[in-house]
Amino acid sequence: MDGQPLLEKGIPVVAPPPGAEAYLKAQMWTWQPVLRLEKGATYNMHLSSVDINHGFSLYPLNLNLQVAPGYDYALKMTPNQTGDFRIICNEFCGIGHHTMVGKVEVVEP
Amino acid sequence: MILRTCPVLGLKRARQRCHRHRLFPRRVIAALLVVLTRWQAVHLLSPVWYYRVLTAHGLMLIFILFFEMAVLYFAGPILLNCRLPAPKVGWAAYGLMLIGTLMVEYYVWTGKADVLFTSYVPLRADPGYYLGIILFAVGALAVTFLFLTTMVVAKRERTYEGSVPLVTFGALTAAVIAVIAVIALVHGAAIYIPTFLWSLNLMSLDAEVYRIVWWGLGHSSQQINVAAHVACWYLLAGLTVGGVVLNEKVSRTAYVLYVLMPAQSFQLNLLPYWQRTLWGSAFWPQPRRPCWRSASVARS
Repeated sequence: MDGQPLLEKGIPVVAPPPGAEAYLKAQMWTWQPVLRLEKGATYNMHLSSVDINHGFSLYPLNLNLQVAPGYDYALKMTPNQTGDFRIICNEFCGIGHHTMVGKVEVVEP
Repeated sequence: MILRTCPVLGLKRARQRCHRHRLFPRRVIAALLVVLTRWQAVHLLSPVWYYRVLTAHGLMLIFILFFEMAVLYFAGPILLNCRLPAPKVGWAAYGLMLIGTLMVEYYVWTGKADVLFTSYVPLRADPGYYLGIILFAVGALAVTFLFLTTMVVAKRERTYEGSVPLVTFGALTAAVIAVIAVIALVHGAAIYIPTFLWSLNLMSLDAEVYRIVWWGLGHSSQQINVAAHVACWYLLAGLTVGGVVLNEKVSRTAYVLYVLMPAQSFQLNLLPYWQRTLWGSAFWPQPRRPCWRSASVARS
């Protein structure tokens, strides 16, 4: 570690400690940051949008919700399998909507 | 008023031009373009035009109401053998709907409203787009009230006996849902008024409030279509193969439920489909009276 933030394609990678609050920000047209979570640990997820309505859709799981600006959508999440998960915006949010993706990595503790 | 006898229905009706409302053929082309764009091997449109065409295509869900309004004119004055109480109001309403439609089309096709059918605030379109939808909704609402007035006039002038024909009853259902979709519980199209003001920076509007209220229109407006087209099924069954309804009370009860369910809880919009399937398929057609005629006409 050289004190520099870990980046993946220019997007910061955040690994919150188990049991901590984990934040995901939707903005035209990315979901940030890349979250690195531990399998079996429970996190308090907070989803927010800073501009307009976005969709939070976690693939390949079937988890969908809409995230409107001005709100904090909180959910408790316990990953039970490792791997890379994609967040895909499934609510039209302007011309770059189809490029709006994000990533959640689940690793062994 | 000069009346003629309709060769198909055998009913007297005013000598006037038919109300012909048609969707623009370009909407069909628009739908085709959407398909060819999603198909990656062809990928016809750029993202900008894809969303633009998709917006125009989605708005068909509103502009299809031209047909429902035509059904109201048919199920009202024609099936009830009655005069249209205020033709000028009808033309004015039609004008409002037409102007509203043209405004919306203009702003969509010139790229000033790339917001899809849902137009979730705070995604912003030109104020003219929202105003167009408001004008259209006001026009549709006026036609609906004209239909309700026609029913009152027909009753008062005794142009029919017994209960209204089932098809008219079905159209009444569509009309009531239309009123609900636009104004009742301050939900539905009414949300476009604050949205219009918001687009002019005259007020603020919460994203979640918009979304919840808007869906009062999104779902209910489709119930108008479905109620009207079930009424048309009854009509066509009667006209084409002479089918009539075994138990009209059941059909009418289903229609009443159809109003109550979406009105009370539009989230439960699966329920009306369930009713429609169950009641609609099981109880017709059986020989009794044609569903497009009132009781007295059928007896004679």
